[in-house]
Amino acid sequence: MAKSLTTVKRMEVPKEVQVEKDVEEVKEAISENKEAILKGIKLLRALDDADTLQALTALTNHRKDAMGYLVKELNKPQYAKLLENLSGFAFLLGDIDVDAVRDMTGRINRGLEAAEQEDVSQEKTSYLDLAKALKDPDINRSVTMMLQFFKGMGKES
Amino acid sequence: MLERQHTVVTINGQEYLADPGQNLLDLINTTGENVPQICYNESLGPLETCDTCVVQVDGELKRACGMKVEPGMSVMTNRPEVHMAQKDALDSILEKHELYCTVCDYNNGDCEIHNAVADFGLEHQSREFKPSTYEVDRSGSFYRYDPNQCILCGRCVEACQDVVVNETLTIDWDRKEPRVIWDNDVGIDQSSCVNCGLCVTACPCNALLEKGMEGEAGYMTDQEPGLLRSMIDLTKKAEAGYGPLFAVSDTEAKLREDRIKKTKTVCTYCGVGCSFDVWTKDRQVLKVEPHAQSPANGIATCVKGRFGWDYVNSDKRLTRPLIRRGESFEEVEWDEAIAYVAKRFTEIKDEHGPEALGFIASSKATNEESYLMQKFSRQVIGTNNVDNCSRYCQSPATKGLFRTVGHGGDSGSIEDIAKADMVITIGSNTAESHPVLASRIKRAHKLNGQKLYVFDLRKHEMAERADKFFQPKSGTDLVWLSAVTKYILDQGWENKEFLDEWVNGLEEYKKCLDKFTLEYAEEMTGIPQQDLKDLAKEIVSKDKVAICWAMGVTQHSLGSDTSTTISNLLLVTGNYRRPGTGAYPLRGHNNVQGCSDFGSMPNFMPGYESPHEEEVRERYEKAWDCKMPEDDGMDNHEQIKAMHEGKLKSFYVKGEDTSIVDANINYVTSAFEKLEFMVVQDLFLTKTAEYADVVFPAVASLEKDGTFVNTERRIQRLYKAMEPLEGTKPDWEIITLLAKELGFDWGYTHPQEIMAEAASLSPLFAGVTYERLEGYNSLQWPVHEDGSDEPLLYQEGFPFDDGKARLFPIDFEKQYDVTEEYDLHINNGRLLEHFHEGNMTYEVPGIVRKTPNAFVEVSPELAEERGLKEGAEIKLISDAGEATGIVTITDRVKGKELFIPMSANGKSAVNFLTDNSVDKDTDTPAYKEIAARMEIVRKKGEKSPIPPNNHRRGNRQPQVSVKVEEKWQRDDYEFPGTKVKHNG
Repeated sequence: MAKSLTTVKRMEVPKEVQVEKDVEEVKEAISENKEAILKGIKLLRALDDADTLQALTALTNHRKDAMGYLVKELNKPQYAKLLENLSGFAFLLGDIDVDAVRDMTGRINRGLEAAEQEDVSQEKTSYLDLAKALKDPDINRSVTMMLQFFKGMGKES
Repeated sequence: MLERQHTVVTINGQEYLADPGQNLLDLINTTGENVPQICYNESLGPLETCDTCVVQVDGELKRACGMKVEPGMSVMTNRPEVHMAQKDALDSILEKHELYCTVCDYNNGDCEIHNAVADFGLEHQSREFKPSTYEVDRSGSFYRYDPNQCILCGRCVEACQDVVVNETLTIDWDRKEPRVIWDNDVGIDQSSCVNCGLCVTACPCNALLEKGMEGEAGYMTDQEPGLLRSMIDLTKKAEAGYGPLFAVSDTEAKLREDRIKKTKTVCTYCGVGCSFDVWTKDRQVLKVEPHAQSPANGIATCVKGRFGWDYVNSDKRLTRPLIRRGESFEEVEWDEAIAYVAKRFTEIKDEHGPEALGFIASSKATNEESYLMQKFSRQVIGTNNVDNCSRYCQSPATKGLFRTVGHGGDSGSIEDIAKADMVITIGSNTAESHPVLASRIKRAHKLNGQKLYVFDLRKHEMAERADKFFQPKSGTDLVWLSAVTKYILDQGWENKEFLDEWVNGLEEYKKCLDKFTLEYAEEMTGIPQQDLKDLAKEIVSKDKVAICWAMGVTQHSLGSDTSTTISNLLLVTGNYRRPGTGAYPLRGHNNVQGCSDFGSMPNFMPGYESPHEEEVRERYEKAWDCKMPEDDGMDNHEQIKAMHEGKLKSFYVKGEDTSIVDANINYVTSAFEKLEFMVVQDLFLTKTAEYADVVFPAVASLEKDGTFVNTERRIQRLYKAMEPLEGTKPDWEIITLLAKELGFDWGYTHPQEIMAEAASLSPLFAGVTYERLEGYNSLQWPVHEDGSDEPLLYQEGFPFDDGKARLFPIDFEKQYDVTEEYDLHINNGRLLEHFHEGNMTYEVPGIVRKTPNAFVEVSPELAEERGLKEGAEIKLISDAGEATGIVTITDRVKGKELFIPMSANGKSAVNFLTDNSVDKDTDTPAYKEIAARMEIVRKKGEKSPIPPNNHRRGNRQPQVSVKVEEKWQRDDYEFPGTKVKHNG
């Protein structure tokens, strides 16, 4: 003779039992992912050593405020140029001839090396020394290149 | 075979073969040429509103989507002027739509504006974005409209007007700033919108968005409105030019894939069987997205499938097994509950024999779970006492079809109903009970000239749309159907060729028709003789006729005979075996078809094989290593009776709230009280579960794998979208655990293995495998070993020995009527927004705020006579019991007929009124035959039971498509092609 029932006695799971169950679950997960977790600990330690961990925690907790400040700040007129430039630079990088720049940079580096090796206590260079030096093929190439560069730079585009 | 005709079209100098009359844009899309096309969607057809698909046709710039191919047509898609015109069109769109993709919830890789602009390679827009002066409309329950993102492509309007045909949305092209409007310009919430959500799926961007997606889909979209605005501004500054903007937003869209899971599932509500992807974030449902390749529904579904999923996370869900102890249930561990049930089953079987145990499978659960329920009953316990809820609704239709044509299912697909020249619906509130299927009829009727004849007591939506609407007296459909059939035969209008070749029993059948003269029919049904003659003429004049019927036919004492008569009429007129014809009993639950198909019936094994046949029993005995019970078991109804008689001692019911949905609730619950042992398996502590000794917590469809069979006999897979709620288990697992405890270690680890077993044993499903049902693939039984199926039945003949169908003689004797004392007829049925008894949909706040409770529909005449006002409270009293409810006065009902939705619960539950009368052939309760009298509790109430924001109070605005011509006539509009020409 079963009458209709609507009351339910909830199962009281003792806290210790629940904790034990949860710990067991976590332990299993740890065992399955041992390698990753050990690496994770290393990462955490590195972050902590650098005090980054605390900062990241704080930033995460306040992410909405942070986002608000950032967006508000960046939307101010003085940043308009900066933001435009950001993407402008991206386009600029696309225009630069990287090979030419690399070649030029190599030459500048060699020049710097040579300048460092030179004895600084040497006497002053006279006009005559200058004329003589033009006969040195390395120097001559440098000067010709500089003259060409000046010419290109002055061109009206 | 006719040789296929082709039209030769030249595109960019190369010749292509097109189908005659093919849409030009469709053809271009097959060539690999990239033409932008924002308003075009294959499921909707050409709208011509966005102008982005401009191409050059024979030297002129034209919208490709608006052209049909013609022989010799020459098309250029890559000329500079084409590019300029397309760019102009895209620019116009970007004037209306702001691209802030990274912080947009619609940035999920499928935004069509984003993709079109990116594919086109547009870097900068030449005209500024101009917001409108309108506010966002977020008044509705489930979605919001943002006029400032809307590009007026009209896809939502087309979807609403011509696909679901709810006719709520239009674009008002006349105002200064055109926009989409609801009804005659009211808020979404106040309109006739039924929240089917198709407009949201049709929208190419974020103008229409599910509220569930807002602030949830993106990583950076969950911000306060002010901050979001600032972020939009910042996004636009930092991502100058569309290239960088897309690079960032595409990356963000990819990141979203990590946390948004998209799972294909099949709807758990009605028998249409909509399939769709459900988007979830852990246990949270973000949205539901049907696909063009969803076989039963395309991109449509209804409010329940689209937004009715809150019950999955309801805090009323059971999370531990319950055992009755003294005056309350106690939560216990699974081991304990399983062991206890196994022990009690064994004790009862030992003491009273296997026939003292009864089992009810669920038509909401999967095929695999139905298969296991009957396997448990037959193999583990040893009884055929297993049934399912189709007993409450569909068994009479199945019976009628078995008698005449041999398969108990729809003769064709939903596609065939749409193709018919004439559709007759009988006792079916199709628009509310099978909304997506109804849409196919509504569309064919609105656009393709399909004739629609509706027979029903109530003037529901389909009745209002019908070419002809008849209200025969309750329970007399058999009479007019027979009279029309007789008249056709008398006139010699029958399809003689078809009858000769395919049908037996004509002469004998003719004899039974003698009494069904037109005079008799008029007297019995109230339909004038001339109307019946006209109807007969109309039926025979149409090449393809399909008849759909539902509970208004089956839930009567002559339900099986009436279903038989429908099939007889179709046979006499030759409306079987061809596309666009046939018999369509519209199945009510998502898996009411499958639950019976897979054997949870007292007289059928899986695939409708009889347990009386030795060959069948031997096959199963060999596979299951057991002795099979041979005699028919008790059906649902007989089991309740046997409880009262003390013969049935134990009852195991899964996913069925028997004590609400069975007729005569008082009788059912008093039967439960007499049981020795009762087990219920459900998501909730239902009314039925309250009587149980053990309750097992089951899972929702989103939490399990399996298959359902829809009304078209279509087997479709559902995939697990989320893990079961902690502490719950799917039905198949629970039954497997019980079987194991009772010594039958089935060893199933996945439903796939269960299906493989069922397919290997039942010839009807021989070729069914999970691989063949992968994703959106589906199979319509019978499925042959090679995997071929039968979308349209009887192509090779009818499944009888000689391949011929049978006309089955019937008789009619009126068994029910109102009396002097019980002078009112109480009708009942579904509401669109609440499923069945409502235990799932009442958990959806967005539905409840619009339809908080059930009501009693009373006709204006009766209200006048009894002095009732809107909101009055009445008590209805029948022989079996009484129910109270709040009155709404409507001409959907007439005279002394009242209507109570099935979702009425508590004191209004209609089954307090129903009695024990049943269909004489199948024991299906005659739910639709209630005579009652009325007592008035309160003559008027403070308010109507139908709130002002209920869609029934809306004001539809029918029109065909989006009326783009009105856009073209605006002074501020110039066709991009013309502009390009002017500007050189």
